Amino acid sequence: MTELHYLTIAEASAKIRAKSLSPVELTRAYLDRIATLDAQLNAYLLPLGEMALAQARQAEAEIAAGNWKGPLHGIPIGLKDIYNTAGIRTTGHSALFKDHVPTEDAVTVAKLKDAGAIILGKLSTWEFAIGGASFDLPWPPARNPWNTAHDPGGSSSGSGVAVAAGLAMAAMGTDTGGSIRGPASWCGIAGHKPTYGYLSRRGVLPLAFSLDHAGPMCWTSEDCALMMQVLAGHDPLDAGSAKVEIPDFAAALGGDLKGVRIGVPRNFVETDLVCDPEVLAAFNASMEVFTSLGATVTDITLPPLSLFTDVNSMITAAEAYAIHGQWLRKTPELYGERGRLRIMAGAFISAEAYVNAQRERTRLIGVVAEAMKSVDLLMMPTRHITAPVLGGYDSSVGPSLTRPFNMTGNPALSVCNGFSSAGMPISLQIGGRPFEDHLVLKAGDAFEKATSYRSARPRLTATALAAQ
Amino acid sequence: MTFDERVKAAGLTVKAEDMPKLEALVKDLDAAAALVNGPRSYAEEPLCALKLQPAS
Repeated sequence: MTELHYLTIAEASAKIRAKSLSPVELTRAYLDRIATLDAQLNAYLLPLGEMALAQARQAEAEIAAGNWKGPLHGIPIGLKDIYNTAGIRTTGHSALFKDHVPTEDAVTVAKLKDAGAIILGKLSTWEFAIGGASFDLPWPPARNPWNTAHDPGGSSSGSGVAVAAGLAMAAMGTDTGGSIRGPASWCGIAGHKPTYGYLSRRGVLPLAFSLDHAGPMCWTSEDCALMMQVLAGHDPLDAGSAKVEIPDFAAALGGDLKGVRIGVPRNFVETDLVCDPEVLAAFNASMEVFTSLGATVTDITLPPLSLFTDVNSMITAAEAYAIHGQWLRKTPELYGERGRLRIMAGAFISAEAYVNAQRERTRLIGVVAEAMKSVDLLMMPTRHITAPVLGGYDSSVGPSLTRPFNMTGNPALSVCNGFSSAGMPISLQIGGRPFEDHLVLKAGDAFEKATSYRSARPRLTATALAAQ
Repeated sequence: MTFDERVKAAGLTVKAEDMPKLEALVKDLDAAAALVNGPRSYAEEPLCALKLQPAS
Protein backbone atom coordinates (compact mmCIF):
# COMPACT_ATOMS: atom_id res chain seq x y z
CA MET A 1 0.00 0.00 0.00
CA THR A 2 1.30 3.47 -0.90
CA GLU A 3 2.34 5.52 2.11
CA LEU A 4 0.11 8.55 2.66
CA HIS A 5 2.85 11.04 1.76
CA TYR A 6 3.41 9.35 -1.59
CA LEU A 7 -0.22 9.28 -2.73
CA THR A 8 -0.99 11.33 -5.83
CA ILE A 9 -3.75 13.94 -5.76
CA ALA A 10 -5.91 11.64 -7.91
CA GLU A 11 -5.47 8.75 -5.45
CA ALA A 12 -5.84 10.78 -2.26
CA SER A 13 -8.80 12.73 -3.59
CA ALA A 14 -10.74 9.56 -4.39
CA LYS A 15 -10.13 8.30 -0.86
CA ILE A 16 -11.04 11.65 0.72
CA ARG A 17 -14.24 11.84 -1.30
CA ALA A 18 -15.12 8.28 -0.24
CA LYS A 19 -14.35 9.32 3.38
CA SER A 20 -11.79 6.53 3.71
CA LEU A 21 -8.97 9.08 4.16
CA SER A 22 -9.13 11.93 6.62
CA PRO A 23 -7.64 15.27 5.48
CA VAL A 24 -6.48 15.76 9.08
CA GLU A 25 -4.67 12.41 9.10
CA LEU A 26 -3.14 13.20 5.70
CA THR A 27 -2.02 16.68 6.76
CA ARG A 28 -0.50 15.30 9.99
CA ALA A 29 1.44 12.72 7.95
CA TYR A 30 3.00 15.54 5.90
CA LEU A 31 3.72 17.75 8.91
CA ASP A 32 5.40 14.83 10.71
CA ARG A 33 7.48 14.10 7.64
CA ILE A 34 8.48 17.76 7.28
CA ALA A 35 9.54 17.77 10.95
CA THR A 36 11.60 14.60 10.45
CA LEU A 37 13.28 15.23 7.11
CA ASP A 38 13.27 18.87 6.14
CA ALA A 39 16.22 19.93 8.30
CA GLN A 40 18.36 18.17 5.69
CA LEU A 41 16.38 19.09 2.58
CA ASN A 42 15.57 22.75 3.32
CA ALA A 43 12.44 22.70 1.18
CA TYR A 44 10.44 24.88 3.59
CA LEU A 45 11.23 28.42 4.66
CA LEU A 46 8.09 28.52 6.78
CA PRO A 47 5.98 25.45 7.61
CA LEU A 48 2.46 26.49 8.65
CA GLY A 49 1.47 23.50 10.80
CA GLU A 50 -1.25 25.03 12.95
CA MET A 51 -2.93 26.78 10.05
CA ALA A 52 -2.73 23.65 7.92
CA LEU A 53 -4.34 21.53 10.61
CA ALA A 54 -7.12 24.10 11.08
CA GLN A 55 -7.77 24.06 7.32
CA ALA A 56 -7.70 20.23 7.33
CA ARG A 57 -10.24 20.08 10.17
CA GLN A 58 -12.48 22.47 8.26
CA ALA A 59 -12.14 20.38 5.07
CA GLU A 60 -12.97 17.24 7.01
CA ALA A 61 -16.08 18.82 8.50
CA GLU A 62 -17.23 20.10 5.10
CA ILE A 63 -16.78 16.71 3.46
CA ALA A 64 -18.48 14.93 6.37
CA ALA A 65 -21.43 17.30 5.86
CA GLY A 66 -21.65 16.28 2.20
CA ASN A 67 -19.97 19.41 0.80
CA TRP A 68 -17.06 17.93 -1.18
CA LYS A 69 -15.70 20.78 -3.30
CA GLY A 70 -13.65 18.84 -5.84
CA PRO A 71 -10.33 17.04 -6.32
CA LEU A 72 -8.22 19.51 -4.30
CA HIS A 73 -10.46 19.43 -1.22
CA GLY A 74 -8.27 18.31 1.69
CA ILE A 75 -5.08 18.08 -0.45
CA PRO A 76 -1.91 19.40 1.26
CA ILE A 77 0.19 21.67 -0.95
CA GLY A 78 3.15 24.05 -0.59
CA LEU A 79 3.72 27.50 -2.06
CA LYS A 80 6.94 28.89 -3.48
CA ASP A 81 7.72 31.84 -1.23
CA ILE A 82 7.00 34.42 -3.89
CA TYR A 83 3.24 33.74 -3.72
CA ASN A 84 1.66 36.37 -1.50
CA THR A 85 -0.16 35.00 1.52
CA ALA A 86 -2.39 37.32 3.56
CA GLY A 87 -0.94 37.91 7.02
CA ILE A 88 1.93 35.48 6.41
CA ARG A 89 5.41 36.63 5.43
CA THR A 90 6.34 36.28 1.77
CA THR A 91 10.08 36.75 1.52
CA GLY A 92 11.25 35.83 -1.96
CA HIS A 93 13.97 33.99 0.05
CA SER A 94 15.61 37.40 0.49
CA ALA A 95 16.75 39.52 3.42
CA LEU A 96 15.22 42.47 1.53
CA PHE A 97 11.72 41.05 2.00
CA LYS A 98 12.23 39.11 5.23
CA ASP A 99 9.56 41.17 7.01
CA HIS A 100 7.23 41.51 4.02
CA VAL A 101 3.73 40.49 5.11
CA PRO A 102 1.14 40.91 2.33
CA THR A 103 -2.43 41.82 3.15
CA GLU A 104 -3.94 39.70 0.37
CA ASP A 105 -3.45 36.22 -1.00
CA ALA A 106 -2.24 35.84 -4.58
CA VAL A 107 -5.22 35.11 -6.85
CA THR A 108 -3.98 31.53 -7.38
CA VAL A 109 -3.59 31.01 -3.63
CA ALA A 110 -7.13 32.23 -3.06
CA LYS A 111 -8.36 29.82 -5.75
CA LEU A 112 -6.56 26.91 -4.09
CA LYS A 113 -8.02 27.81 -0.70
CA ASP A 114 -11.50 28.17 -2.18
CA ALA A 115 -11.09 24.68 -3.65
CA GLY A 116 -10.38 23.37 -0.16
CA ALA A 117 -6.62 22.80 -0.52
CA ILE A 118 -4.52 22.77 2.66
CA ILE A 119 -1.56 25.17 2.69
CA LEU A 120 1.37 23.37 4.34
CA GLY A 121 3.82 26.26 4.16
CA LYS A 122 6.09 28.51 2.14
CA LEU A 123 8.84 26.95 0.08
CA SER A 124 12.43 27.76 -0.71
CA THR A 125 13.30 29.56 -3.96
CA TRP A 126 16.29 31.14 -5.61
CA GLU A 127 16.32 34.74 -4.38
CA PHE A 128 13.42 36.54 -6.09
CA ALA A 129 13.32 33.57 -8.52
CA ILE A 130 16.71 34.31 -10.14
CA GLY A 131 20.40 33.63 -9.62
CA GLY A 132 20.96 30.14 -8.31
CA ALA A 133 21.42 28.09 -5.15
CA SER A 134 22.95 30.53 -2.68
CA PHE A 135 24.60 30.16 0.72
CA ASP A 136 24.62 33.88 1.60
CA LEU A 137 20.85 34.32 2.12
CA PRO A 138 18.94 34.24 5.44
CA TRP A 139 17.89 30.61 4.70
CA PRO A 140 19.95 27.78 3.21
CA PRO A 141 19.27 26.48 -0.32
CA ALA A 142 17.08 23.42 -0.86
CA ARG A 143 18.83 20.11 -1.55
CA ASN A 144 18.01 17.40 -4.06
CA PRO A 145 16.21 14.49 -2.34
CA TRP A 146 17.77 11.96 -4.75
CA ASN A 147 21.20 13.00 -3.46
CA THR A 148 21.45 15.89 -1.04
CA ALA A 149 24.90 16.85 -2.32
CA HIS A 150 23.21 17.80 -5.59
CA ASP A 151 21.29 20.82 -6.84
CA PRO A 152 17.50 20.42 -7.03
CA GLY A 153 17.32 23.08 -9.76
CA GLY A 154 15.50 26.33 -9.54
CA SER A 155 14.18 28.74 -9.09
CA SER A 156 11.20 26.79 -7.68
CA SER A 157 13.67 24.61 -5.80
CA GLY A 158 11.68 23.99 -2.61
CA SER A 159 8.60 23.13 -4.70
CA GLY A 160 10.50 20.45 -6.64
CA VAL A 161 12.10 19.04 -3.51
CA ALA A 162 8.89 18.99 -1.47
CA VAL A 163 6.92 17.09 -4.11
CA ALA A 164 9.69 14.57 -4.88
CA ALA A 165 10.41 13.94 -1.20
CA GLY A 166 6.79 13.56 -0.15
CA LEU A 167 6.83 16.77 1.89
CA ALA A 168 3.85 18.13 -0.09
CA MET A 169 1.41 16.41 -2.43
CA ALA A 170 1.75 19.30 -4.88
CA ALA A 171 3.29 22.74 -4.98
CA MET A 172 3.07 26.02 -6.82
CA GLY A 173 6.06 27.20 -8.79
CA THR A 174 6.78 30.04 -11.17
CA ASP A 175 8.65 30.00 -14.46
CA THR A 176 10.38 32.92 -16.24
CA GLY A 177 13.07 30.93 -18.04
CA GLY A 178 12.49 27.38 -16.80
CA SER A 179 11.95 27.75 -13.06
CA ILE A 180 9.13 25.20 -12.89
CA ARG A 181 10.48 22.75 -15.46
CA GLY A 182 14.13 22.88 -14.31
CA PRO A 183 13.52 21.72 -10.74
CA ALA A 184 10.81 19.36 -11.95
CA SER A 185 13.46 17.79 -14.20
CA TRP A 186 16.21 17.45 -11.63
CA CYS A 187 13.81 16.28 -8.90
CA GLY A 188 12.02 13.82 -11.21
CA ILE A 189 8.49 15.22 -10.95
CA ALA A 190 5.93 16.70 -13.35
CA GLY A 191 6.03 20.48 -13.68
CA HIS A 192 3.74 22.44 -15.97
CA LYS A 193 4.36 25.93 -17.31
CA PRO A 194 0.91 26.84 -18.62
CA THR A 195 0.22 29.01 -21.64
CA TYR A 196 1.02 32.65 -20.78
CA GLY A 197 -2.19 34.23 -19.57
CA TYR A 198 -3.98 31.05 -18.47
CA LEU A 199 -3.17 31.61 -14.77
CA SER A 200 -3.26 34.92 -12.97
CA ARG A 201 0.13 36.25 -11.84
CA ARG A 202 -1.48 38.85 -9.56
CA GLY A 203 -0.03 38.60 -6.06
CA VAL A 204 3.07 36.71 -7.18
CA LEU A 205 6.32 38.68 -6.72
CA PRO A 206 7.29 39.52 -10.32
CA LEU A 207 10.66 38.86 -11.91
CA ALA A 208 9.96 39.77 -15.57
CA PHE A 209 6.38 40.74 -16.31
CA SER A 210 6.29 39.59 -19.92
CA LEU A 211 7.89 36.20 -19.20
CA ASP A 212 6.56 35.20 -15.74
CA HIS A 213 4.21 32.22 -15.51
CA ALA A 214 2.59 30.63 -12.44
CA GLY A 215 2.05 26.88 -12.56
CA PRO A 216 1.66 23.57 -10.75
CA MET A 217 4.34 21.06 -9.76
CA CYS A 218 3.11 17.55 -8.91
CA TRP A 219 4.20 13.92 -9.01
CA THR A 220 2.19 13.23 -12.18
CA SER A 221 0.82 15.02 -15.23
CA GLU A 222 -2.66 13.91 -14.17
CA ASP A 223 -2.21 15.82 -10.90
CA CYS A 224 -1.05 18.89 -12.86
CA ALA A 225 -4.29 18.64 -14.85
CA LEU A 226 -6.34 18.54 -11.63
CA MET A 227 -4.48 21.60 -10.35
CA MET A 228 -4.95 23.43 -13.66
CA GLN A 229 -8.71 22.99 -13.41
CA VAL A 230 -8.74 25.07 -10.25
CA LEU A 231 -5.98 27.53 -11.17
CA ALA A 232 -6.80 28.55 -14.76
CA GLY A 233 -9.13 31.45 -15.37
CA HIS A 234 -9.34 35.05 -16.49
CA ASP A 235 -8.23 37.76 -14.08
CA PRO A 236 -9.29 41.21 -15.29
CA LEU A 237 -6.70 42.81 -12.99
CA ASP A 238 -3.76 40.89 -14.47
CA ALA A 239 -2.67 42.73 -17.63
CA GLY A 240 -1.44 39.49 -19.22
CA SER A 241 -4.49 37.40 -18.39
CA ALA A 242 -6.27 35.73 -21.29
CA LYS A 243 -10.05 35.64 -21.60
CA VAL A 244 -10.52 32.15 -23.00
CA GLU A 245 -12.75 29.20 -22.31
CA ILE A 246 -11.27 26.77 -19.79
CA PRO A 247 -11.37 23.15 -20.97
CA ASP A 248 -11.83 20.11 -18.74
CA PHE A 249 -8.14 19.25 -18.38
CA ALA A 250 -8.68 15.93 -16.58
CA ALA A 251 -11.34 14.77 -19.05
CA ALA A 252 -8.83 15.27 -21.89
CA LEU A 253 -6.52 12.64 -20.39
CA GLY A 254 -6.56 8.97 -21.32
CA GLY A 255 -6.69 7.07 -24.57
CA ASP A 256 -3.91 6.72 -27.08
CA LEU A 257 -2.07 9.36 -29.06
CA LYS A 258 -3.11 8.22 -32.54
CA GLY A 259 -2.77 11.04 -35.04
CA VAL A 260 -0.71 13.26 -32.73
CA ARG A 261 2.27 14.70 -34.63
CA ILE A 262 5.41 15.26 -32.58
CA GLY A 263 8.19 17.54 -33.81
CA VAL A 264 11.72 17.22 -32.42
CA PRO A 265 13.86 20.35 -32.99
CA ARG A 266 16.90 18.21 -33.59
CA ASN A 267 19.20 21.22 -33.87
CA PHE A 268 18.36 22.15 -30.25
CA VAL A 269 19.50 18.83 -28.83
CA GLU A 270 22.31 17.71 -31.12
CA THR A 271 24.09 20.78 -32.47
CA ASP A 272 23.05 23.91 -30.54
CA LEU A 273 23.61 22.21 -27.19
CA VAL A 274 25.63 19.16 -26.26
CA CYS A 275 23.34 16.89 -24.25
CA ASP A 276 24.71 14.41 -21.74
CA PRO A 277 24.69 11.01 -23.54
CA GLU A 278 22.39 9.49 -20.91
CA VAL A 279 19.94 12.39 -21.34
CA LEU A 280 19.96 12.03 -25.12
CA ALA A 281 19.57 8.24 -24.94
CA ALA A 282 16.59 8.60 -22.58
CA PHE A 283 15.06 11.18 -24.91
CA ASN A 284 15.43 9.01 -28.00
CA ALA A 285 13.99 6.01 -26.13
CA SER A 286 11.01 8.19 -25.09
CA MET A 287 10.29 9.01 -28.73
CA GLU A 288 9.93 5.26 -29.33
CA VAL A 289 7.41 5.11 -26.49
CA PHE A 290 5.39 7.88 -28.13
CA THR A 291 5.53 6.06 -31.45
CA SER A 292 4.20 2.92 -29.74
CA LEU A 293 1.35 5.05 -28.36
CA GLY A 294 0.30 5.98 -31.91
CA ALA A 295 2.04 9.34 -32.37
CA THR A 296 4.32 10.17 -35.28
CA VAL A 297 7.72 11.68 -34.60
CA THR A 298 9.46 13.98 -37.09
CA ASP A 299 12.66 16.00 -36.84
CA ILE A 300 12.27 19.72 -37.47
CA THR A 301 14.62 22.71 -37.37
CA LEU A 302 14.01 25.87 -35.36
CA PRO A 303 16.16 29.01 -35.09
CA PRO A 304 19.30 28.56 -32.97
CA LEU A 305 18.63 27.82 -29.32
CA SER A 306 21.16 30.47 -28.28
CA LEU A 307 19.02 33.13 -29.96
CA PHE A 308 15.97 32.21 -27.85
CA THR A 309 18.18 32.13 -24.75
CA ASP A 310 19.90 35.45 -25.43
CA VAL A 311 16.67 37.31 -26.11
CA ASN A 312 15.09 35.79 -22.99
CA SER A 313 18.13 36.83 -20.92
CA MET A 314 17.94 40.43 -22.12
CA ILE A 315 14.22 40.77 -21.47
CA THR A 316 14.51 39.11 -18.07
CA ALA A 317 17.41 41.29 -16.95
CA ALA A 318 15.82 44.53 -18.19
CA GLU A 319 12.39 43.86 -16.68
CA ALA A 320 13.86 42.55 -13.41
CA TYR A 321 16.05 45.63 -13.08
CA ALA A 322 13.04 47.87 -13.67
CA ILE A 323 11.53 46.25 -10.56
CA HIS A 324 14.65 45.93 -8.38
CA GLY A 325 16.72 48.96 -9.45
CA GLN A 326 15.22 51.10 -6.69
CA TRP A 327 16.48 48.67 -4.03
CA LEU A 328 19.73 47.68 -5.73
CA ARG A 329 20.85 51.31 -5.81
CA LYS A 330 19.94 51.84 -2.14
CA THR A 331 20.52 48.56 -0.27
CA PRO A 332 22.45 46.11 -2.49
CA GLU A 333 23.80 44.41 0.62
CA LEU A 334 20.33 43.00 1.32
CA TYR A 335 20.62 40.71 -1.72
CA GLY A 336 22.75 37.61 -2.05
CA GLU A 337 25.60 37.80 -4.52
CA ARG A 338 24.06 35.69 -7.28
CA GLY A 339 20.66 37.40 -7.34
CA ARG A 340 22.20 40.85 -6.91
CA LEU A 341 24.60 40.55 -9.84
CA ARG A 342 22.14 38.84 -12.20
CA ILE A 343 19.57 41.60 -11.71
CA MET A 344 22.12 44.45 -11.64
CA ALA A 345 23.28 43.43 -15.11
CA GLY A 346 19.91 44.64 -16.37
CA ALA A 347 20.96 48.22 -15.62
CA PHE A 348 23.21 48.09 -18.67
CA ILE A 349 20.67 47.08 -21.29
CA SER A 350 19.89 49.98 -23.58
CA ALA A 351 16.37 50.96 -24.60
CA GLU A 352 17.34 50.03 -28.17
CA ALA A 353 18.38 46.52 -27.13
CA TYR A 354 15.25 45.94 -25.02
CA VAL A 355 12.84 47.05 -27.74
CA ASN A 356 14.74 45.11 -30.39
CA ALA A 357 14.68 42.03 -28.13
CA GLN A 358 10.88 42.34 -28.01
CA ARG A 359 10.82 42.75 -31.81
CA GLU A 360 12.98 39.64 -32.21
CA ARG A 361 10.71 37.82 -29.79
CA THR A 362 7.71 38.63 -32.00
CA ARG A 363 9.58 37.16 -34.96
CA LEU A 364 10.48 34.00 -33.01
CA ILE A 365 6.86 33.55 -31.87
CA GLY A 366 5.87 33.63 -35.55
CA VAL A 367 8.52 31.08 -36.53
CA VAL A 368 7.42 28.64 -33.80
CA ALA A 369 3.73 29.14 -34.67
CA GLU A 370 4.52 28.37 -38.30
CA ALA A 371 6.44 25.22 -37.33
CA MET A 372 3.52 24.11 -35.18
CA LYS A 373 1.19 24.13 -38.17
CA SER A 374 2.74 20.81 -39.19
CA VAL A 375 3.26 19.32 -35.71
CA ASP A 376 0.99 19.27 -32.65
CA LEU A 377 3.69 18.96 -29.99
CA LEU A 378 7.38 19.82 -29.66
CA MET A 379 9.57 17.48 -27.62
CA MET A 380 13.11 17.74 -26.29
CA PRO A 381 14.91 17.05 -23.02
CA THR A 382 14.04 19.53 -20.26
CA ARG A 383 17.65 19.92 -19.11
CA HIS A 384 20.68 18.76 -21.10
CA ILE A 385 22.39 17.46 -17.96
CA THR A 386 21.27 15.80 -14.73
CA ALA A 387 21.48 17.64 -11.41
CA PRO A 388 25.05 18.83 -10.75
CA VAL A 389 26.62 19.27 -7.32
CA LEU A 390 24.88 21.99 -5.30
CA GLY A 391 26.43 25.43 -5.71
CA GLY A 392 28.29 24.79 -8.95
CA TYR A 393 25.48 25.36 -11.43
CA ASP A 394 25.18 28.77 -13.09
CA SER A 395 21.87 29.20 -14.89
CA SER A 396 23.16 32.27 -16.73
CA VAL A 397 25.70 30.28 -18.74
CA GLY A 398 24.91 28.59 -22.07
CA PRO A 399 21.75 27.88 -24.04
CA SER A 400 18.65 26.62 -22.24
CA LEU A 401 16.02 24.22 -23.57
CA THR A 402 13.30 25.72 -21.39
CA ARG A 403 13.55 29.39 -22.34
CA PRO A 404 12.03 29.16 -25.82
CA PHE A 405 8.63 28.45 -24.26
CA ASN A 406 8.83 31.51 -22.00
CA MET A 407 9.66 33.59 -25.04
CA THR A 408 6.67 32.33 -27.02
CA GLY A 409 4.29 31.76 -24.10
CA ASN A 410 3.45 28.26 -25.38
CA PRO A 411 2.63 25.64 -22.71
CA ALA A 412 5.42 23.24 -21.71
CA LEU A 413 5.47 20.29 -19.34
CA SER A 414 8.43 18.43 -17.84
CA VAL A 415 7.97 14.73 -17.10
CA CYS A 416 10.48 12.20 -15.76
CA ASN A 417 11.75 9.89 -18.50
CA GLY A 418 14.49 7.95 -16.77
CA PHE A 419 17.37 7.90 -14.34
CA SER A 420 21.10 8.28 -14.88
CA SER A 421 23.57 5.59 -13.90
CA ALA A 422 24.15 7.69 -10.76
CA GLY A 423 20.45 7.43 -9.92
CA MET A 424 19.54 11.03 -10.74
CA PRO A 425 16.29 11.84 -12.62
CA ILE A 426 16.26 12.68 -16.33
CA SER A 427 13.30 14.49 -17.91
CA LEU A 428 11.50 15.14 -21.13
CA GLN A 429 9.88 18.43 -22.12
CA ILE A 430 6.59 18.54 -24.04
CA GLY A 431 5.56 21.83 -25.63
CA GLY A 432 2.23 22.61 -27.25
CA ARG A 433 0.35 25.34 -29.08
CA PRO A 434 -1.06 28.25 -27.03
CA PHE A 435 -4.05 27.12 -24.93
CA GLU A 436 -3.53 23.47 -25.90
CA ASP A 437 -2.27 22.63 -22.42
CA HIS A 438 -4.80 19.79 -22.33
CA LEU A 439 -2.97 18.02 -25.19
CA VAL A 440 0.41 18.58 -23.55
CA LEU A 441 -0.89 17.10 -20.28
CA LYS A 442 -2.57 14.22 -22.14
CA ALA A 443 0.77 13.32 -23.78
CA GLY A 444 2.61 13.53 -20.44
CA ASP A 445 -0.02 11.39 -18.73
CA ALA A 446 0.06 8.79 -21.52
CA PHE A 447 3.86 8.60 -21.30
CA GLU A 448 3.84 8.24 -17.51
CA LYS A 449 1.24 5.48 -17.69
CA ALA A 450 3.14 3.62 -20.43
CA THR A 451 6.40 3.66 -18.46
CA SER A 452 7.42 2.78 -14.90
CA TYR A 453 9.25 5.95 -13.86
CA ARG A 454 6.44 7.08 -11.53
CA SER A 455 7.01 4.07 -9.27
CA ALA A 456 10.53 5.17 -8.21
CA ARG A 457 10.87 7.52 -5.24
CA PRO A 458 13.98 8.83 -3.48
CA ARG A 459 14.96 6.68 -0.49
CA LEU A 460 14.53 9.02 2.44
CA THR A 461 14.85 8.44 6.14
CA ALA A 462 16.46 10.79 8.60
CA THR A 463 19.31 8.28 8.98
CA ALA A 464 19.80 7.79 5.25
CA LEU A 465 19.87 11.53 4.69
CA ALA A 466 22.40 12.06 7.47
CA ALA A 467 24.65 9.47 5.82
CA GLN A 468 24.62 11.25 2.40
CA MET B 1 33.40 54.80 -20.96
CA THR B 2 35.11 52.25 -18.68
CA PHE B 3 33.01 49.63 -16.96
CA ASP B 4 33.63 51.32 -13.59
CA GLU B 5 32.24 54.54 -15.07
CA ARG B 6 29.18 52.71 -16.46
CA VAL B 7 28.50 51.26 -12.99
CA LYS B 8 28.77 54.70 -11.38
CA ALA B 9 26.57 56.27 -14.05
CA ALA B 10 23.90 53.68 -13.25
CA GLY B 11 23.98 54.81 -9.61
CA LEU B 12 25.17 51.39 -8.43
CA THR B 13 27.67 50.52 -5.74
CA VAL B 14 29.47 47.25 -6.43
CA LYS B 15 32.08 45.55 -4.26
CA ALA B 16 35.51 45.38 -5.90
CA GLU B 17 35.50 41.57 -5.82
CA ASP B 18 32.11 41.49 -7.58
CA MET B 19 33.13 43.78 -10.44
CA PRO B 20 34.65 41.09 -12.71
CA LYS B 21 31.55 38.87 -12.27
CA LEU B 22 29.18 41.72 -13.07
CA GLU B 23 31.32 42.77 -16.01
CA ALA B 24 31.20 39.22 -17.41
CA LEU B 25 27.39 39.14 -17.14
CA VAL B 26 27.13 42.54 -18.84
CA LYS B 27 29.52 41.42 -21.58
CA ASP B 28 27.18 38.50 -22.34
CA LEU B 29 24.20 40.85 -22.50
CA ASP B 30 26.12 43.28 -24.72
CA ALA B 31 26.86 40.40 -27.10
CA ALA B 32 23.17 39.44 -27.08
CA ALA B 33 22.21 43.06 -27.78
CA ALA B 34 24.56 43.13 -30.77
CA LEU B 35 22.60 40.18 -32.20
CA VAL B 36 19.24 41.95 -32.09
CA ASN B 37 20.39 45.49 -32.89
CA GLY B 38 21.02 44.62 -36.51
CA PRO B 39 19.18 46.14 -39.49
CA ARG B 40 15.41 45.86 -39.21
CA SER B 41 12.44 47.31 -41.01
CA TYR B 42 11.27 50.48 -39.29
CA ALA B 43 7.77 49.00 -39.34
CA GLU B 44 8.65 45.95 -37.24
CA GLU B 45 6.59 46.17 -34.03
CA PRO B 46 7.82 44.91 -30.65
CA LEU B 47 5.74 42.47 -28.59
CA CYS B 48 4.36 45.20 -26.36
CA ALA B 49 2.23 46.94 -29.01
CA LEU B 50 -0.92 48.32 -27.34
CA LYS B 51 -4.08 46.26 -27.75
CA LEU B 52 -7.23 47.97 -26.54
CA GLN B 53 -10.71 46.48 -26.22
CA PRO B 54 -13.82 48.56 -26.89
CA ALA B 55 -15.94 49.25 -23.82
CA SER B 56 -18.84 46.79 -23.81
